[in-house]
Formats: sequence, C-alpha cells, structure tokens
Amino acid sequence: MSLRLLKPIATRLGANVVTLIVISMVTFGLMNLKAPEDVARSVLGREVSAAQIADFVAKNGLDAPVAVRYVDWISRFAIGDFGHSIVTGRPVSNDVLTRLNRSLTLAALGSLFGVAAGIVIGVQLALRAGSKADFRVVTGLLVIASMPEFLIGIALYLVFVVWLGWFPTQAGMAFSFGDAWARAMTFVLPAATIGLLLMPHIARVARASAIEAFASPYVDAARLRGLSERQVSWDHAFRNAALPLMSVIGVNLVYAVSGVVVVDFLFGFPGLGALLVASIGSGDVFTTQAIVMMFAVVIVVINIAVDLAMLWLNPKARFRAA
Amino acid sequence: MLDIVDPRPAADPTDTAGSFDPPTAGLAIRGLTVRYGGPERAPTVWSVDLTLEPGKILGLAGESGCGKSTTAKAAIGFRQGSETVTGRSLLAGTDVLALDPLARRALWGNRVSYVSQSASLALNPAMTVGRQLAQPLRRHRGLSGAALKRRMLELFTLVDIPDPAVALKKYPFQFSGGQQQRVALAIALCCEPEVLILDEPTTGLDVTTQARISALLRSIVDRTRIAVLYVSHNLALLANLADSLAVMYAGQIVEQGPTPVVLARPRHPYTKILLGLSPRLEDPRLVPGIPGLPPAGAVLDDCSFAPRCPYAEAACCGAAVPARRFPGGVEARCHRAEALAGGGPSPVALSRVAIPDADPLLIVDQVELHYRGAPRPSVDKVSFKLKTGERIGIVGESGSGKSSVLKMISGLVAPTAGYMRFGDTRLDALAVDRPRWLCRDIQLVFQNPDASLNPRHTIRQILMRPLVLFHGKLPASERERRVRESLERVRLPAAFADRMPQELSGGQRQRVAIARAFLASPKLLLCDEVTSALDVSVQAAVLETIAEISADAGVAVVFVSHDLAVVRTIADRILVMRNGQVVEAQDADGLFTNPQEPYTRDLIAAVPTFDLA
Repeated sequence: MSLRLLKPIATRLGANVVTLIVISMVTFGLMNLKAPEDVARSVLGREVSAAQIADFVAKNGLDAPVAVRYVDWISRFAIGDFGHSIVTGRPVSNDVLTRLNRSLTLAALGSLFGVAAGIVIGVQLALRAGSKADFRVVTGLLVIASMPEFLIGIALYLVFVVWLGWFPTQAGMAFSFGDAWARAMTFVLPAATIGLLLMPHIARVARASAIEAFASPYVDAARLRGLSERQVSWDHAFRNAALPLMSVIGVNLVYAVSGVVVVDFLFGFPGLGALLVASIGSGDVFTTQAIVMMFAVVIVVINIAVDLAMLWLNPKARFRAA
Repeated sequence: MLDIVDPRPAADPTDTAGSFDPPTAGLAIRGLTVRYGGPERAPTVWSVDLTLEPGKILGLAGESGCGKSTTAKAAIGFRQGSETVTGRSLLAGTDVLALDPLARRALWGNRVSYVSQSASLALNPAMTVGRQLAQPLRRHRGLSGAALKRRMLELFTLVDIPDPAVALKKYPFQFSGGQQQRVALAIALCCEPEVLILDEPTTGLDVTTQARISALLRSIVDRTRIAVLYVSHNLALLANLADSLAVMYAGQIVEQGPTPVVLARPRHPYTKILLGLSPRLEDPRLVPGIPGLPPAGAVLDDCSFAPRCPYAEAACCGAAVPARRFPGGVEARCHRAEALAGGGPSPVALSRVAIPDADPLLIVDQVELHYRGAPRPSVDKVSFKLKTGERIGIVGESGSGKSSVLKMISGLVAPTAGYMRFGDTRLDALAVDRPRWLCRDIQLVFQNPDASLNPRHTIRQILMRPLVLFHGKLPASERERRVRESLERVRLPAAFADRMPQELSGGQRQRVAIARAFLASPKLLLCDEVTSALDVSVQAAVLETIAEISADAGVAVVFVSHDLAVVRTIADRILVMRNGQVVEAQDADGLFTNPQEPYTRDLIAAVPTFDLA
C-alpha cells in the first residue's frame, strides 16, 4: 500500500516544488525590480549622501544583476540561510522562525477549534435535519459566515477585552513581560477569531455530507446487517462523509493561515503577520521575502497533506493515482 | 368448490392472522399494513399475508410503485422514515415487529438477511469487501483471527468468487456488477440466517449474469434450507426460480399460489395481463399495454384494478374484494376469476412491412472505436447495412460495444477507423460539424428520459425544439398542431403539453422522448436501451409506439438492448455483439430458431422463459 502510494506522492511533491519556485520568482521580482538606490533610500531615508547609498548597495550586494541576486538568495534560502535584514542587520531567520512558530501555533489552535466545532455542530444538525432548531442554527451559521474576519475580531475584542476585561489590550506586552500563563492567554482571542471564521463553512459542509451519507443505501445495508449504530455511523457514514469535508477543510486551513495577518493586526499579536506588515513598511526586502516564502511553504504543505488524506479516504482515487 | 377465506378486509388487519397457523420455521407475515402519513391517507401496503417456508423461494412480483419493496423491508421491521407499520411478522413464533429496536438489530444479518437491488450502492465504497464481510461475523458470531478468516474464505467460495483470499482485500469498485451482488449475498449468508429477503437482486445485470446468480441462489436454498422472499418485477425470472408466486398491485396481494398453478391458470386479470405483457422469445408478440395508471395507494372500497381491468363489471366497485381460495392452493382477489379462462386482450404481432429491395440507407463498414489507453477497441470492425424502413436490433451484454455503435452513427463520438455512409453522404464528422439536415434525419432516443428531457422545459417546449430547429419556416399554429398530433400518436393526452417532465411517469416521459425524435421527421431512429428502465406494461406501449410510427413513416430503426425478448419483438434482423465484435447476424426468426454461434445460444438460453417443462 505505502509503496503504491509513492508515485502519487512524488508527483504531488514535484508539482508543488514548481509552484514554490514560481512564487519565489514573483516575490523576488516584486521586491527587487526597483533600482538599488531606491532600495537603499527606502531603508536609510531621504537625507543620505551618495556615498552612504553606494556603501549600502555594495554591502548588501545590490549592484549585481537581478538574476544573479535571485539565484544567490534562493540557493541560500533553500538551505535555511535567510540572509541578514538590511534594516536591523540581524539574521532574518531569528525573527522569522520565532514568529512562524507563534503564528503556526495560533493558526493550528484556531483551525482545530473551527474544524472540531464545525464537525460537531454539522453532525448534530444532520441528525436533526429539517427541524426548527436545524433551521435556526443554519441561519445563524450563514450570518457568521458572511461576516468578514475583522468584524468577528472586533466584536470579540469589544466584548472580551473592552467590556469584560478578561484579556490584555496588547498581546505583545505579554510576550515581552508576561509569564507563560499570560502568553498562553494571548492566543485565546486570535485563535477564537480564526476558529469562528472557519466553523460555519465546515459546519455547513459537514451537515450536508452527513445527511447525504446517512441517506445512502450502504448505510441502510449496514444497519440491515445488524451492526451497531456506532459502527454504522463511524465505519460507514462518517468515513464517506469525510471525503467532501476534507477538501473544504483544506481550503479553510489555507484561509486560517492567511487569516493570521489580519488577526495579528487586530489584537496586536506579535506574529508573522505583524512582522510582514512591518517589514514591508520599512523596506526590509529579505525579511519580507522570507515571510512570503514561509506562507507559501506552509500552504503547499497543507495542500499536499489534504491531497494525501483524500487519497487515503478514497480508495478509488488511490487506485487511479497509482 | 370455493371457500371464502376473508369475507372482507378486516378493519384491523391483525385480525386476519388468526386464520392461519404460523409455521414454526421461516417467516409468516400476517396482515402487514404500511401507511405513510395519517389514517386519512391510503395505505401503501394493505393487509399482506405471505408465508416464507424453509427451503422454498417465494416470488413477489409487481410493477414499480406497487409496494413490494416496502413490504419486504417492513416485514423484517426496517423503518425508512415516518411510516406506521401494523400487522405481524413471525420468525419461528416471535413477532419481529413487536421487538424493540435493539432486539431487531440482533436479528438482522444474523437470523434474517436482506440483499438490496444494487450491490454497487449497498456496499461501502471506501471499505474492502473483506472488512464489510467481517463486521457482521464479528458482531453476531464473535469470530476473530483464523476462525474469522476461514469462515470468510468459505463464504466467498460458497458464492463462487474466484481467488477468495485476494478478493477479500479488494474494494467494491474492483468487482463487476455480478460479483458485487455475489459479495452482497455472501455477507447476507454469513451467519446462516433462517430467512433471506432479496429485493430485485439481479435487476440491471446482464441476462447471463442473472441466470448464473439465480442458479447459485437455487443451489444455496436447496443446501441450506433457507426461506427466501425474492422481490422482482421480472415475472419470467420468478416463473423459473420461485416455488410459489405472489402478485402485488396497488399495495395488495391480488393473487398468490404455487408457481406452476398460477402460471397455468391465473385467477386475477392483472396476473393474466402481466403474463401476456412479458415479452417471450418463443412468441415474439406484444399485448397492448394496460391503459391508465395504478392508484397511488391501496384502494379499500373497490377492486383496485377495476378501472384498468378489461373484465370489470359493476360488482367490482363499491366493495372491497375478498381473497378467495381456488383449487391448487391459489388465492386471488377477483369477483370474475372464473371468467378469466378465455378471452381477454390477445397478443398482437407488431406490424411489419415488407422492406422494398432498395439501396441501403445506412452502410457501416469495418467501423472501429478504440479509446486511448484501452487494452482493446470498444467497437472492433463492425459492418452492417440498413434499408429504409428496416428495423435492426443489436443485442449484447454490457460492455459489448452496442451503445458505442449508436454513438458513432449519431456523431456523439468519432470512429477511429472504418467508413459509414448515410444515403449519399459520408458520415465521418461529429454531430456538431454535420449539416443540420443530417442531424434531422438521424435521431437518437436515450435510455433514461429523466436525463434526456430538460426538467425546466414544459413538454410543449421540448416538442417544439425539433420543429424550430429543423422545420423553421412553419407558422406557429402549424407547430402547435404538430405537437398535439405527436402527443396523440404516442397516446398521451394533448393537455400534457403544458406539464413538466417530472409530472409524468417514466413511461410517459419516454414516450415524449420518442415523440420528440419523430417530430424531426427522421429517416433513421436510433434507440439505446429505451425500455430498460420501464415496467412491462409501459414497455409494451413504448415498443408498440416505435413499431407503429416507424412502419407508418417508413423510418429505419436501430434498436439496442440487452433484452433479447424485447429485441425479438421489434427487430427484423439482429446483430449479436460481444467484446466489440459482431459474432452473429441473422434475421430475427432465424437467430432464435437456429442460432449458429455458441455465444448466441448461451445468451438465448440465459433468458428466463415461461416454459415450465
């Protein structure tokens, strides 16, 4: 089985490496197509001498042709050397990796909450499909689903930070001065925002696929073999309902990862999103590139994982792929 | 001579149970009534009494919607939704319907098993068949490890699945339709149940596969002494397989008794007509379909069949018809049972016209269709000629390439080699690239009218389409007249023009599809399994329509079907296809009386007939 799956895995990896290379070229191109003097100016400010600029350009290797700089950057990047920030002079990897760690934790917590709550709510609704409660909750989910993330975030912020005062106003302070508990608390609201962002989509698809799976002839057939309702649900209904759900979860995980940018901004969470905004503002080329590539790598990894999960759930596709 | 068993259908159907001694083995169904909705709605199944004896197969026949599947499921206590089920179903003295849900679950798959129509839908697509077989064995028998494995291999051997050890590890989609049904049968038999319910288990399978599964079932029943209820709309199949026969109409058993007795002398007009309607190889004639439609539920104060019955008289209405007992162990609900001996609608041969010896209308020469990557061509060097007004039938099992031939003639796919000519025109282009007159001259009717009629268009809009496309210059009043006329020709009321396809029954929809094809005034009509999804009474009407119109207008027909008996009734000449090749081509009578190829002989032999030698 695992051997048979090597080929589809390799094909997907290959395709995704190509995707990453294209993203890296576009990113690098956008950040570096301006003249070296402009890059220097955007970091050093307006009031600098020509000598300072020339010095900056030479020090950061900005005088080489773009293609050469790209190859130089990407080959170092591939082995984990992200270069030095042209603003602070510190290694980019220090800042980026700490924040990547934090943001991934945040996205994972948020997705876990959103997916779990979505599935539980969806399945419960499926079991009550057509009832008044079902109708009300589905309408409620639709309302949440149509709200943009900043609205959900602001609402949570208003209620839990401003009115109830349960959480600090600036998450960043906890990271600088707080203890482990204070740090952990800073994750709660941003993760809840991401979770609420995903939950309605997951719940609606979970509901629909569970209803479909429970109505399928093989579920009736399983019942008529005298299997317990538990076995019928888990082995027969949910397993097949998971297939359409999986692709929606995949899309939503990507959504969650990109959602950290907005959430960082809303809650002052010191994550990768906040760093991205700051580094674009300060013209910090290498940091920006590194962050964009980090996002790209994470999204590609999610896509591969979802693809493989779908192959695992769908034996027919597995045989076609192999 | 006749003693009345049941003076009137009891108000409380369970009362009737007293008149029978429940057997100690098998399943005794007494007064089974199923209602959807409140008591004001007509019951879907009314007061059904059936006895399933060990080692015997009871055939339950009837057309779609008559309540036979509902009966089968309700009899073992399986609820599908909000229905109310009353009556009793006694399994060795225990009333299955009175058991609590958990106790019922303990019976299902253990002492009572159920096999549903489509194994491809009833098997979980994401689980190996081995795991699906193991589940009930673990649950009801507590088997595990080597004992479980041994039992599973034994079961797959019992149902003749080749290489059982490998097969257990496969997924359902890796099996053919017939083998999937064998797997489903193995799962049903795994705990050696006393009762087996089969709900249309071979519908949709090839005749040869059907015959093999029937033979397997018979041998299992003889060996294991299991009691079987076999639900099917195919009367000929049941005639060959079942020990006794029950015929259902509008939720009631109208007649039941030992199979040979029922077939030799049907006591209910519905049975009689149904027997006459089933196409027979040995007698290629058709009875005109039964006029009208069955009622939606059981009719309690009239004979439910009276409005469609050629024997009906005043006494048939106004009171329920009790079941009466006749010699030979037959029971039937008919006042006029004695009058059935003679008369009634007699079979008519479909009109055949002499084909003038003219130049061929269609020439198909060495045509081949080879899909990329396929190991062999789907259609392999097929040749035939068709004259104006001639009707040719193509038979073969699924995958034989018979539908692909039609697709190439109609231009839905392009042949990869060979030559086709229609009149003086070479037929090499796809339909989109053909001139419009060619599309008008060659019309195609598909198997499934649900898919080929636009659900958002009224019947009028659907029928206007060919007129607008191919006869654009007609004035509006003339178009309207032709639409009405075409509905009349397929025997549908003109008022149907304003209906939507989904308001019509399957047979009526198929007749609309045929009307649409003929409105184009074609020279060649291609029919792809057009009656496969239809009941015999509707099938008869559809075949008659096609034959009649083609004879009137001199339209040539290519009629593709897996049903030899149907093809025989309509075709002048028949091609037998297998694995993409034509293995035999003969005129219809010759093919059946004197088949040359062993494969043709196998195909003919596999068709169930009413010949009870």
